[in-house]
Amino acid sequence: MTNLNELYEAILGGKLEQAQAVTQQAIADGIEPQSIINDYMVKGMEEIGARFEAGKAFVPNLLMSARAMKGCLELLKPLLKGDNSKSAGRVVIGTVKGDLHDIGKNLVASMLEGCGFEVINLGVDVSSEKFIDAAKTNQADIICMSALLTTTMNYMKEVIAALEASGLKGKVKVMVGGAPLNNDFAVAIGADGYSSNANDAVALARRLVNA
Amino acid sequence: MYTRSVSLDVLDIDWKNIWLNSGFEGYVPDSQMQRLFHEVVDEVAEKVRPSYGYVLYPNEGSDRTTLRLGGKIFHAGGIISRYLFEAEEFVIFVATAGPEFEALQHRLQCEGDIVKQFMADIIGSEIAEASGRLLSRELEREQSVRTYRVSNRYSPGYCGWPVSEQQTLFSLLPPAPCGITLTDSSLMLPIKSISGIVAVGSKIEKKPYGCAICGRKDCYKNRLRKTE
Ligand code: B12
Repeated sequence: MTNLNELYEAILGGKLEQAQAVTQQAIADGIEPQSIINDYMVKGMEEIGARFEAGKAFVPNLLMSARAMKGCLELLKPLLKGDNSKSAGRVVIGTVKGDLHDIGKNLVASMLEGCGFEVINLGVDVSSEKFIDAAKTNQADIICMSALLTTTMNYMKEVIAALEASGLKGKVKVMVGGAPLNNDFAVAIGADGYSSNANDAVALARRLVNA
Repeated sequence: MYTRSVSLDVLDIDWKNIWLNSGFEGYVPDSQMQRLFHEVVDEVAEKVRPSYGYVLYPNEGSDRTTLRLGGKIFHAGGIISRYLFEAEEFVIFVATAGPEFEALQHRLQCEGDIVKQFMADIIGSEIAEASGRLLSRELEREQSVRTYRVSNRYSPGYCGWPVSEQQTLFSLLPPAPCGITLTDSSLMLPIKSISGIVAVGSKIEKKPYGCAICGRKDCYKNRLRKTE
């Protein structure tokens, strides 16, 4: 019988191969995929997130765990077909028009993906039309925007105005982030949420999808 | 324009910067993580040719807020200009991790390994910065022959110097210097590129850079520092 605590430990320790081996075994043993995910994998991710918050784990550790989780989710995907709860949510993400700084944006994208979200990464220099089109085409739950320049962060307001004009505001939530931003700015431009790091971004995305 | 392209081992990659940019101040990864970082650097080293280039222009009467050279005016602002305006000459430079690096990053993206992607991202920024440092060292050596001193490197987008003046900066360089092109919004492709100005002259001193000299209240870095 599979020891699923090993899966929790492997996710927490960011051990991809080990995590996948236990997942394979669990699948062979006929364990419910949702239980594998929610009771062990997500718990492992929550613990690494808590350690990150406490300053006991770092960005590379978060990513190692997210990579392990992503690898296991890939194994479970075929079993989740037709299951509405298969994805934590669908996210369209990009660095706004005029900006090319994308390390933080990619980090948020990776963490969301690792935590079970479907992520459509639009890259850098993304226009409002591109954000809205991608949100429509992919029936996204959330648009995530990143900006690292004080000059480009204001473009987020334009994207939100375009979202309003398209009638999607409220249906598609908006999350913003990037070093020069803060919560006040996010509130002022009408975004639904702001977070200062990739770990919080996942928790925020979960809250917005379930709101 | 003088240009030089180098292999990675010529650059002094500062691991402290890499740790800092992938964690917090004082973060040093454990040995397993360090091994992974080194693996990515080795992969990068095989492929990339970072490069840098610059052109020298005489000072055409700069003052404490604006820099004048090559028939152009830079509104570099008081924070930067006051350290540079007494230059004999200015060096307009670019430095880049290069298109090979971008291609490698693209490949890593396709492979889907998020840990490697992140590490490469951090390493690429450090390559661009390290190319800038190499350029500075070379300038110092060269200019010391004329008993000129060399300032720090200052970039559009820093300390109140508008990013939009990249357009003016690039107009003083040949088309696509080191393969770098400007977007409409005045940013550079490949992404892992930097640009800027250096002052040389007998009255020039190397002053502290960036946050140490800037008191802008609206800057998030100063905000962060206050809450520390
Ligand atoms: C690394 C870096 C670079 C790298 C490239 C980065 C890249 N994309 O690959 C290099 C060295 C190439 C570079 C170059 C330049 N840079 Co630069 N760069 C930085 C630096 C030092 C760090 C950014 C970073 O990657 N941080 C690490 C990541 C993980 O953090 P982050 O981006 O903040 O993201 C986190 C959070 O903000 C949040 N988050 C981010 N996005 C999102 C989105 C959502 C939805 C959510 C919820 C959360 C979230 O979560 C992330 C993870 O925790 C910043 C300074 C700083 N400290 O921010 C300057 C900075 C952004 N650069 C700046 C400038 C000006 C430039 C240049 C124009 C300078 C020049 N003339 O050469 C060039 C332009 C490059 C180009 N191609 O055109 C300025 C911008 C100033 C301004 N006017 O606003 C800054 C602020 C430096 C400064 N002056 O202090 N840069």
